[in-house]
This record gives sequence, C-alpha cells and structure tokens, in this order.
Amino acid sequence: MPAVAAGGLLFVSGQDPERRGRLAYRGRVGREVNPAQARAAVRLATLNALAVARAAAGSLRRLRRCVTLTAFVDASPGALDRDVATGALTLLRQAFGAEKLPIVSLRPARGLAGSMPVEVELVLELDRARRR
Amino acid sequence: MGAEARLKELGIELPEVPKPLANYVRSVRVGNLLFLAGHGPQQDGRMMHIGKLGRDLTLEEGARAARLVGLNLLASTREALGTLDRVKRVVKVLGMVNSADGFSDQPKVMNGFSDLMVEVFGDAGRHARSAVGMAELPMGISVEIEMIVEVADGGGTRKAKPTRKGASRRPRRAARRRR
Repeated sequence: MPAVAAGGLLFVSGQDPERRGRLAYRGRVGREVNPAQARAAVRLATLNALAVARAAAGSLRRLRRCVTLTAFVDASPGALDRDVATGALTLLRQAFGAEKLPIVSLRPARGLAGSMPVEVELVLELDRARRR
Repeated sequence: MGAEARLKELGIELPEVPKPLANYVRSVRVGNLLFLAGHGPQQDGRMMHIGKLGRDLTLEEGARAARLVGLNLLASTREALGTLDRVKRVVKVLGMVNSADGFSDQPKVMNGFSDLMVEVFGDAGRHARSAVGMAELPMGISVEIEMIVEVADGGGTRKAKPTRKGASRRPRRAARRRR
C-alpha cells in the first residue's frame, strides 16, 4: 500500500527519488552521487511522498502537518551529510508552514531497491475531520 | 474468517514469544496503535538465517527469514492483544535487510513477510512499508522488522465488528468519559 491511515496519522511507504516512473538518481552518496544530488534526491523522494499523502487524504488541506521524515541514505563512510534533508524541509515548510516542521531522522542504509541513493518515508497528522 | 482461524487453516503454529535481547519491551500500545519492537528470525530461542543477502543467503532464504520474523511479530502481537482477531489491520512496516555491497533486492526479501500478513489477515494485512538495506544487524541476523498494527475497538472479544465509520464509536467514548 502506498499509504495507510490509522490513529489520526497517515503512514506513507518509503518513496523513491523517481520522476515519471524512472529513478532520477542511482548509486551511492559519496561515490556516484554528490552531496547536491543527494539533497535533490531526498527532496524529490519527499515530493513523491507528499503526492502519495495527498492522494490518500484527498487534499493537502486534510493534512495538518508532517510529523516525522525518515531519510534512508546509502552513503559511503563519512558521506552522510546532516544537511541532506535541507531541500526536503524547505518543501515541507512551503507545504505546512515554518512552525510545523517534522522531526528528521537520517539513517545510513547499505543498499536500497534498484540501487537508488535515498528512500524517504513520512508520517503525517490527519486533520481531525479525517480521523477514524 | 478471523486471523486465528486462518492461522489454523494454514497450519501455521506461531513460535514462542521471542525474548527481548536487552533492556526493552516487545510492544507498546498507544490509543489504537500497537508499536512492535524490531524482531528477528527467531525459532526455539535461536536466531535462524544468519548472514548477509547478496553474499551468504539466497533471495529465497532471505524471504523465508522475513516470513519467520513475521511469525515472531505475530506471536508478540498475540501476546499483547490476547488474540490476533483484535488486529484491525497492519499499518506500517520497516524491513531492514542485512545486505552485502551491491545487493538491491530488499523489497523481494520483504515480500516473504508481506505475503504472510496477507495470508493471515487478508486485505487487512496489506500495509505501508519501507524496505532498506543495512550494513550490519545485531548478531548477524539477515532480517529485522518493525511493525505498527491498528487494534480494533472494544474489549477482548473475539469478534471485532466492522466499524461503520465512526457511528459505533461515539457511545463508547461517552461511556469512557462518565467513568
């Protein structure tokens, strides 16, 4: 399932940095993928996660905020920059406001589906009217 | 058919409830969500399927490991709720696959787990999921999985009524407030 709602929260499956069904980035951060591309990849995966969340909730307005953003990053030792989610956070600020930023977890991964460099999962809070 | 009846029909016997490996609990319930700790492929008190995908284990073995982790998670879920029939649905799953360099079929490994959940819970077993590769896992296990399940409203009765979108909840809420 792309997303599941429960307990007032919407859990979005890990999303890929893909555009029109094709991975836009491949490889390991610090090897094939440079820091700027890694940031762009996390932003793109987050954008895809937002699209999934919107489809599941019906509208972005039915989502109060993003609660957590977890970015799994396939990075060489020492190549996991703490600002890798900067672009994604800018996106979430634009979507929900500066006072509603999520907590962010960056997790080193070793190998992700299709050799993509990052995978992003979100937990969002549903508007009260949408709670079940 | 309830999940317990389906388990019986499938001839699946759950392993004994796995013991935590350190100072933590197997699950925590908040509201109608039950959060389960990361579980491993444990059987008879031993971790099975040790090793990395893409080096020590085939895809099939990895999928079997993921299925065994699923059985352990079901055992802990049953322990927490009394019966699996109280599971309304599987919500969210994080699968961590111990991966050698270059292995990128983590989703196929995790399908061993996801297929089990659909076998046991039907449509309610379908879930949101992330499947990622890890450089190491505790004790060299091949798969570790965390799970969140939604618990059906009501007490420990075996038959969970299908909710009519909130209609049946209001009286219960009122009753709780009176207490």
